Amino acid sequence: MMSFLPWRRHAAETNLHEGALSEWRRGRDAIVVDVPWADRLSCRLRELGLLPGVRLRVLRTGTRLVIQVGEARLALRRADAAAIRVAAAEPTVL
Amino acid sequence: MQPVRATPATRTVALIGNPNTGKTTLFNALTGLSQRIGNYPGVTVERKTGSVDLSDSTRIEMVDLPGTYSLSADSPDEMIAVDVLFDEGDDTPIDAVVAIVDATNLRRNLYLVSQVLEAGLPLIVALNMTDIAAAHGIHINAGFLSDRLGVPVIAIVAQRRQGIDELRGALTRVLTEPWQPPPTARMPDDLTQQVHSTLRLTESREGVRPLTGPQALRALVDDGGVAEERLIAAGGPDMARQLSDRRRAVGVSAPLSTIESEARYAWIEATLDGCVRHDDELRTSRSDGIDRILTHRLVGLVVFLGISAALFQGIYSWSAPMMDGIEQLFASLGGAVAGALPDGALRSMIVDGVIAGVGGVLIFLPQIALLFLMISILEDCGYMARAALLMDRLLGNLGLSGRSFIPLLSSFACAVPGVMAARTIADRRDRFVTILVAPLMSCSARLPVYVLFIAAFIPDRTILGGWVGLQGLTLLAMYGVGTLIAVPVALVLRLTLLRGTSSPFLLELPAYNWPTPRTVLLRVYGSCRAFVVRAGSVILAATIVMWALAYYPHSDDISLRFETERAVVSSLAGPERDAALERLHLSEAAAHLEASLLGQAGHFFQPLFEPMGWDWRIGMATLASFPAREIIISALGTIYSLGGDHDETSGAMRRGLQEATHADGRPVFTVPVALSVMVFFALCAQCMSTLAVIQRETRSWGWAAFSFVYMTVLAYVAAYGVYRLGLWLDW
Repeated sequence: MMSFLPWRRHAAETNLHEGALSEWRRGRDAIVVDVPWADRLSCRLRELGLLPGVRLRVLRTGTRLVIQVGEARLALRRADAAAIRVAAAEPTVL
Repeated sequence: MQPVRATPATRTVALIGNPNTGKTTLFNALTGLSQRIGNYPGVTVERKTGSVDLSDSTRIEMVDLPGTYSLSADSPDEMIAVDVLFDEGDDTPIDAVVAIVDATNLRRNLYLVSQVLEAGLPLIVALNMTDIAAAHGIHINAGFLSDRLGVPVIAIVAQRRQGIDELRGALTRVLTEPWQPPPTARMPDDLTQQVHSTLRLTESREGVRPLTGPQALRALVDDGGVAEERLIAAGGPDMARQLSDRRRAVGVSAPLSTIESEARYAWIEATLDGCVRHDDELRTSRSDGIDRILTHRLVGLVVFLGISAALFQGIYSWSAPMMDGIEQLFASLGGAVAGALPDGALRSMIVDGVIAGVGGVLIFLPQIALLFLMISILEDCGYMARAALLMDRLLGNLGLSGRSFIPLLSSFACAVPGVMAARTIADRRDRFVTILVAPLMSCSARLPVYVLFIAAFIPDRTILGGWVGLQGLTLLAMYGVGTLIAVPVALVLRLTLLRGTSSPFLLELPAYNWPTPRTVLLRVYGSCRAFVVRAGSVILAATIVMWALAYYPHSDDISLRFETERAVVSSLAGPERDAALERLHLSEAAAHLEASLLGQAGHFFQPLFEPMGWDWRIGMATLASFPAREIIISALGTIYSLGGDHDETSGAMRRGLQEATHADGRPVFTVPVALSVMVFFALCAQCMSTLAVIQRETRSWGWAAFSFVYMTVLAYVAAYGVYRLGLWLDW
C-alpha cells in the first residue's frame, strides 16, 4: 500500500532489503512495509502503531520475538511475525 | 448526551487506559481502601469501584475499567469499556471519564483517547510518568496538548502521588461546568457513510436497540467481534448480510481496521505536532539491557526457574509455620470450647463443624497472602510479562499461553491460590483452561496421603541396579500422573467446551521499575479479602454439612451400649482401666461413624468402590474426605480405632492399615489397592475450597460442578485401571 501520510517519510526510501519480520536480524532497524491480514493479531498490531512506514527494531530473536516500536516493547510469536513485511531502514534520516 | 436524572445522585467517573500506564496506581491513589469489587453481568472481569473525594467536598464514584489498548472487542470481557462508555441504557450512567496515558508512549496511548472522545462525555487526560518521559528526553507541553485535544490535560506522577490534587480539581470543574465535546479523529468519508447507514439499519428495525455512532463503527469495523455478534443476535441472519454489504460498500481492499487505525494515527500526528519533540530514533533504555539477560534463551530461563523455585518454596514451606500456627490456634480453641460445653450435638457442631470450618478457611490465608505478595511484586516491577514470554514456548503447544505457568506452578503447593493467580491471564479461554486443569497439579495436601500409603505398602527397596528407590519412584509417579493427565485435558477442553481462537499472543514488555508498596499491599489485601468473604462462606457451610453427615443419626443405642461397657471396665485397676477406657472411646467413635449417614453411604456405594479394590471403609473415608483430601488420614484413624493424634508418619497408623483385614481374614490393603487409593487421590477433586474458588473466579457453579465431575470420573477410571494393572502384574 502506498503511503500518503506525511509522517511516513521512510516509506519511499525502502525498497532495498525487504523481508519478513520473523527473519530480521537482531539490532537492525527496519521500516514496516505491510501488515497485511485482517486477523485479530494484525488489527491489534495496527492499533499499537505498527503501520506501514513506522520504524521498528528487533530486540530478541528466536521462537518469540521482541520488537521495539516507539517506546513500546512487544513480544510476539515468530510464526505470527512471518506475515509482516519490513525493509531495512537507512541508518540516518536526512 | 448525558442522561438527565431527577436527583443529583452520586456522580460516576470511569477510569480508562492502556495496560502498564499506572492505571491501578492512580486508582489506588484516588480511592485508597474505599475500593469495592463487584461483577458486571455475564462476564468474568471484576467491576472495581471506589469513592473519590473532590476538592469541593463532594464524593464521586470511580469505576476502574479493564486496561485496554483500544475499544475493539473480541470477547465480552473486552466489551465492558464500550458498554460503559457508549451504552446510554446502562444502569449506572457515566458522568465523566479520566483517561490515563503514558507520557513515554504518548502516540500509542492517544489511540484509545481518540476512541473515548467519541463518547462525547466530559474527559480529562491524566498524563502519567512525566518524570520518566523527561528523563528520556521527552518533554510534553501539557497546556499545549490540552489546547489541541480540547480537554483538560493534567500532568501526574501516580507512583509518587504528584498531581493528584490537580486531577481532583479538574474533575470538580468538568462535573460542574458545561461540556463542549471537542472534535476527534475523522474517519474517511466512505467509512463514515457506511457507519450512518448501519445506524439507520438499527433505527428502523423492530426489537433492535438503536446503536450509537461509536457502537455502529465497532460493529462495522471489528469483523467477528462482539459488537457485530450482538447486532446479528438481535437482528437475525439478515443483519449479517446487511453488515457485510456495508463493509464492501466502503470500497477498499484493505481490512477496515487498517482504515480506522490509519485515520486515528493521522489524527494523533496532527494533534501532537509541535506538542512533543518529534523523534524518529528508537531510544535504547536500561530495561533493554536488563532484558538482554532476563529474556535470554538460557540465562533468562535459569533466572526464571530460580524465581519459580523461590515462589514455590514460599507457598510450600515458608507459609508452613503460619499455617501450623493457625491450625494450633483453632485446635486449642476447639479444645477450650469442648471443655466448656456439655457433650452432645451442639458441642460437636461447634467444635467439629463451625470452628473446624472457619479454621479450614483461614488456614489458606498464609499461602494466598504470600503468593499474591510475590506475584504482585513480580507484576508491578514488570517481570511477569518476561516470564510469560519465556514460558509461552512450553505452554503454547497445549493451547495455553505463557501466563498460565505461575498459576499452574502455584497449584503444586495449593490449587486455591493457583486458581486465583489465573486472574493474571487476560484471555478468557486461556484463563478457564488454566483454572480447570490447575487442581490436577499435585498439591501439598495430597502429600500426606502418598507418604502414608507409600510407607505402609510400597517395599523399601531399590530397582534398576540400586539406583532408583521404589518408594521415591512411586512418589514421583504420583506427582507425574496429574501433570501428565493435565496435558490431554487441556487439549480436549480447547477443542470442545473452550473452543475458539484465543486472543493472539501479543505481549507488551513494560519498562522495569521498582514496585510500589501501596499497589502490592492493596492487591494482597484484596485477594485475601476476596477469598475469605466469597469462598469462605461456602467452605464453612460445606464443613457443617459434612459434619452433620458424619454425626447423625448418632443413635443413643450405641452410646448406651458403650456406657454399660464403660461401667464394666471402670472396676479395673489404674493404668489398665485408662487404656481400656481409651479403647472403648475409640470404638464408640468408630461405631457412631459406621452408623452415620456417611457410614451408610459407604455401605450403599460399596458396589461402586469394589472395582477399584476398595472395601466400604476405604470408600467411607474417601467420601468423608471430599471436603478436603487430607481428612482421609484422620478418617482412617477413626475407622480403625487408632485414636490419639495420628499423622501420616506415625508407626501405629501404618501398622493399623497393614493389619486391617476383611471379614474373611484377607488383608484390606494390598499394593494394588494402595496404588489405586493414591491414584484416586492424585486426580480427584477432593477439595471444596478449590471448588468454591473456581466458582468465584469463573462466576459460575457450572464450571465448579464440571471440575468436580470430570476429575472424579478421571480419578475413578484411573484408580480402576491401576488396580487391574497391579493385579495383572501381580504386584
